Amino acid sequence: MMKLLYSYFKLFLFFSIFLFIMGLKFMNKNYSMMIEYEVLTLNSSSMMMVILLDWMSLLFMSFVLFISSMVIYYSAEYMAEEKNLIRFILLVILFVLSMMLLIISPNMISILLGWDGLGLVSYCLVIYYQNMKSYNAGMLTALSNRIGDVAILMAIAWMMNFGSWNYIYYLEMMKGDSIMEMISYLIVLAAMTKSAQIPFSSWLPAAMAAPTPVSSLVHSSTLVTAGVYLLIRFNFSLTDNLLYLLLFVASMTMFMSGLAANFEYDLKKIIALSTLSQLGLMMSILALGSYKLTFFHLLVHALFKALLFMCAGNIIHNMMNCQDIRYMGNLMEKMPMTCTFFNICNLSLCGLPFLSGFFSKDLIVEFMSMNYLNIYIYIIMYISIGLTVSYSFRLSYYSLIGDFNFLSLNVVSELSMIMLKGMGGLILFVIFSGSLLEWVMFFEPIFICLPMVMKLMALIMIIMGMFIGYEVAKFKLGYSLKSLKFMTFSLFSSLMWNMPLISTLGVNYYPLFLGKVYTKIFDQGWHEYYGGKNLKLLAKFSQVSQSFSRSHLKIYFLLLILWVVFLLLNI
Amino acid sequence: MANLPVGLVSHTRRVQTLYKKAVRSLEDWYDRREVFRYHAVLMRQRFDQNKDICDMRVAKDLVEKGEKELFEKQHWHPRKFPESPGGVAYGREVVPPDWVVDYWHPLEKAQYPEYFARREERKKEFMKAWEKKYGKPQISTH
Amino acid sequence: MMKFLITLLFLIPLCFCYNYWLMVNCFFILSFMFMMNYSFNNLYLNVSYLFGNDLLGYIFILLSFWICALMLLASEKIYKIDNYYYLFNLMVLLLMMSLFLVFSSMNLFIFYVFFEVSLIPTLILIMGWGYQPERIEAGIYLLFYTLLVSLPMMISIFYMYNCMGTMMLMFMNYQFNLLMYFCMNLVFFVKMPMFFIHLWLPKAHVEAPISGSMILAGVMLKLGGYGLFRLMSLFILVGLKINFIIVTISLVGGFFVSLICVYQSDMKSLVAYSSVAHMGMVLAGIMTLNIWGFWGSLVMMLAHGLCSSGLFCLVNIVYERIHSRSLYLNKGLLNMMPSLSFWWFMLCSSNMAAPPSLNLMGEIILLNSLVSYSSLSMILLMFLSFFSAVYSLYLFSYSQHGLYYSGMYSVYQGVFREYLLLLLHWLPLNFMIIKSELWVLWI
Repeated sequence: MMKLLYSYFKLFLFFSIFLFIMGLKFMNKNYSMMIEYEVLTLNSSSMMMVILLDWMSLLFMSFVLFISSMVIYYSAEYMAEEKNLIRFILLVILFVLSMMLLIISPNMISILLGWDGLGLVSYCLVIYYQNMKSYNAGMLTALSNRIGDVAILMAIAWMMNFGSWNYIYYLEMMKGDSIMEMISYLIVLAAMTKSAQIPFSSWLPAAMAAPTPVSSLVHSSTLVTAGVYLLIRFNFSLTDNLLYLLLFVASMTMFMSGLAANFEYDLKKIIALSTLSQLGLMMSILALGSYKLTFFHLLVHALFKALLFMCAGNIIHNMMNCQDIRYMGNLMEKMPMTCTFFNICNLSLCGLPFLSGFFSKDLIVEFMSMNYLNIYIYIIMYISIGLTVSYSFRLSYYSLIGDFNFLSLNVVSELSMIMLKGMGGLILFVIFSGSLLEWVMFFEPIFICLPMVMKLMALIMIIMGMFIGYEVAKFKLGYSLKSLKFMTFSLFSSLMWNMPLISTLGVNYYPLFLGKVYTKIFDQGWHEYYGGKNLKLLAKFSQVSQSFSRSHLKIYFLLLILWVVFLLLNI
Repeated sequence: MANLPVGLVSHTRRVQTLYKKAVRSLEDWYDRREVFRYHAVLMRQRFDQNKDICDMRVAKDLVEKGEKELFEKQHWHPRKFPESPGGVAYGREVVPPDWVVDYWHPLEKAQYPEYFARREERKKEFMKAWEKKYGKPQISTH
Repeated sequence: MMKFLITLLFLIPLCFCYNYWLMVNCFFILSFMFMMNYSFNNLYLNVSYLFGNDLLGYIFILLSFWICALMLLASEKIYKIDNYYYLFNLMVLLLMMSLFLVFSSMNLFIFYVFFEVSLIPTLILIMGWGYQPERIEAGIYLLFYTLLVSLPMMISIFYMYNCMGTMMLMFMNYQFNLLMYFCMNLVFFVKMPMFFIHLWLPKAHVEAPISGSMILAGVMLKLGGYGLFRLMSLFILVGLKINFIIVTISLVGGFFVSLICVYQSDMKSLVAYSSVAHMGMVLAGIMTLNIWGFWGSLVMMLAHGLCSSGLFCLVNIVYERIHSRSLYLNKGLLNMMPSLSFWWFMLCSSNMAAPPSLNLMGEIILLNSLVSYSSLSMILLMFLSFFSAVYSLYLFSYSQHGLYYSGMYSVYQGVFREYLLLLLHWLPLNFMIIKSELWVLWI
């Protein structure tokens, strides 16, 4: 079993390096490659399985494979006591495979292979544990993602107007055409479900019911970025109105999740919410018009978020599945290495210079400042950056320093070498990948010209965020709790603006109620009445005709008269 | 089932429950030990203030008010031990019953000959011990 | 053609030879032999005595062979408890023969005759080997829903002969009026089944033994689609006027039925209702009268035949262990039979049209046809494909996930026969998509 695991680790690592070098080569030569396999041709429109290899897909694949190789290595210890380890590993492998298929398909139909595959495999991974929480979370995840699948199916149906599903050839045509714009609307809908943008946000924190390696791989760096990646591919087809809508939704998502993370107590959910906020950031920069920056942030974020989850997993593993940050504290002394990694990732997430997150995030906000849109976007962007720092520092404050709050009988220590090795494989890239990727991806620097204050705005917000994060987490004797005082506000924001309620209880009542109505009134009601149950009408008819053949003189004469009447009528 | 009212709850029990829940709720809110202790003492004081009220109407009213306050001030993410009901890891593992192994296919069983040989032995021992304790089982024909 | 027919005929003595597995083998050999018959064009081949097949008929005959073989494989229990299995074999054989003749007859009247004949072995399967007393009612429903509308068809076939002077399917060239449209097609609508007249289907499925369910879902429903494929060319003019009603009924009905699925607690009836929803899409696709619709319907029927038959097998495998089809008792099976759970997932996900199943191909082609028919149908199609995921996942997760039923005291882990059975359902379902052109060439 472990052998299988390690062989997959080696395989993935090999392919990751291989694809990375290929990606650099392709980028350098500005080269791309398409491989087509024809599945079906109907009336000259052919459904094809297409593989597109260009620098973007190769680089993304290499990153995904690298992270997954590390995660697989990591889960050798994390999941060591698991009875169903083979199932787990194979699901993770299948997941990576679907992600690959998603990345390399520039065809609406063959992308379904990856897209649906991601949804289904992530469903299996979320319900990997057998408790009710993961059951509900899995259903929520799968059905939210299914909305996106349906949107893609509809986009396929609508793309038949072009007669082909190789969307990359038609992107500009979609933009110009008011009817074909529908495709890009549907694609944005699909991407919003996969990347958990606002109406569909609730599944991402819920999906934290999965085992932590899964969260690390699936719900931070790969699955949720699938939507962003799709939009990166589609970005030439998005019209201005659509981009405004996307920008609004994405910025709200970013703000909402940053706020919610400040009120959350579940370690994994905080990180999930921070993923959500970063996804909002990616989406908004995409909507502002720079798909390359989106891709840059996507890659960098994938690295540090995966490592962040792995650190969290190590902590959770050592704390006997306890995820509540109120039970943590003073982990700095107990598990120094993990906490170091944790801190580096957190600071990178905050965008502290010169960690990897800084390069992408700072560039994004400066890009946003450069093409001034309106004050709302400006403010919400900076506030969200501040909130990111705030919840990161709150998290550090709660878990890393202070008193040790866990139960008395514990073995919180850093004995898990395999896990640490898996994490250590990522840490260098968390630190360096930002600058590395920036030098590789942006041949000419992006022109940024800002006044001093605006240039420093990001740093100012970071420092303010640090301060606020420290303040909100601080406790003093006799300190009256603000979140208790403003109960409605804190409830509202901690429940992610009530979205989990709306997307579970809010939508499942009517379908179930209607199902009941249709069963009772149609299937067991009128359909039976006018169908099967009134078959006895036939019996009644035969009763009547039976009476004709009784040997009764009156009937005999009556029939005779009738016969004569018919005879006469026919003449 | 726990929420179904089964039997009468005396006033004392009700107050005790309320107190316990209130303190637990404080534990959710004030997550530093010393701060929690401080607020727990304050909470105790609030209960102690009204402990001598003999008028049942007033007392009942107070308890109801307290329950309402507790409801309004419940935490959105109460502290739970991971393996206790409501916790994150509650019911994660479902242990399949032991008899599942008995229903393995013979070919599968043949892959672990030693284990199954010993298992059969243990079964016999168990049956012997059971019969020794309870006597032979009566075979009922109905 | 004759060689297969004669082979089937001479298999009859084998039914009474008390050798069950030989019979299964013969069916498999026949289906593999029949695979050799594949032709890469859409002409009628192997023509002799009014029988012959083009690709459409070929696909359905192959499906019937396959499903009949799997039926025998699935009903080992009948053999094990010696429940008149030689008669059971005979019934399956007769069913196969009549299906073979239905799909290979080039003559409309012979098609009609064997269309009716195929009902009788199915009825006997349900009445004879079903489990509950309610099977009598289910049998009556099955028989009368079909018979009530098939007699008008007989009369209208005679009228057709009067008009056209021939019964040969390939020579038919005429346009009939509305009355003829309903007289001819209503029987296919019932068989499909269209919403409103689908009531016999869940009843029959719930009461039928596994073999009955498999053949019903696998092939009998497809008879309706097959008939419509053959005869829709006679009703193009009237169809252009009123087909939208049928499309609407089947799409709205499909949506309603999907909601009904979510309300079910009986696994078998859930699967049965899900086939009503899928066949609603198929019917709508045929009714669009465009080539995408026809192709999509064919692919979808093929896929659905394998997929829902496989789901019935799964339900039966569980039923044989726990003796209940209730979703409240069949819980946490993942912990009992993990390998079987894998097949549950594969077939449930195929049922919700996940790639790379043939269902997805069918659904995509049908979506294309229906959306090009009317873009408003997108709204209903969205709901349909969303709710297909809802009930498939509901079925999977409710039965597989979580704590097992505590009153369960024995679960046999599963034998190779069962896994083979499921593999043979799943393999064609997911591998035929690789070269799916072969299945849609027939027009």
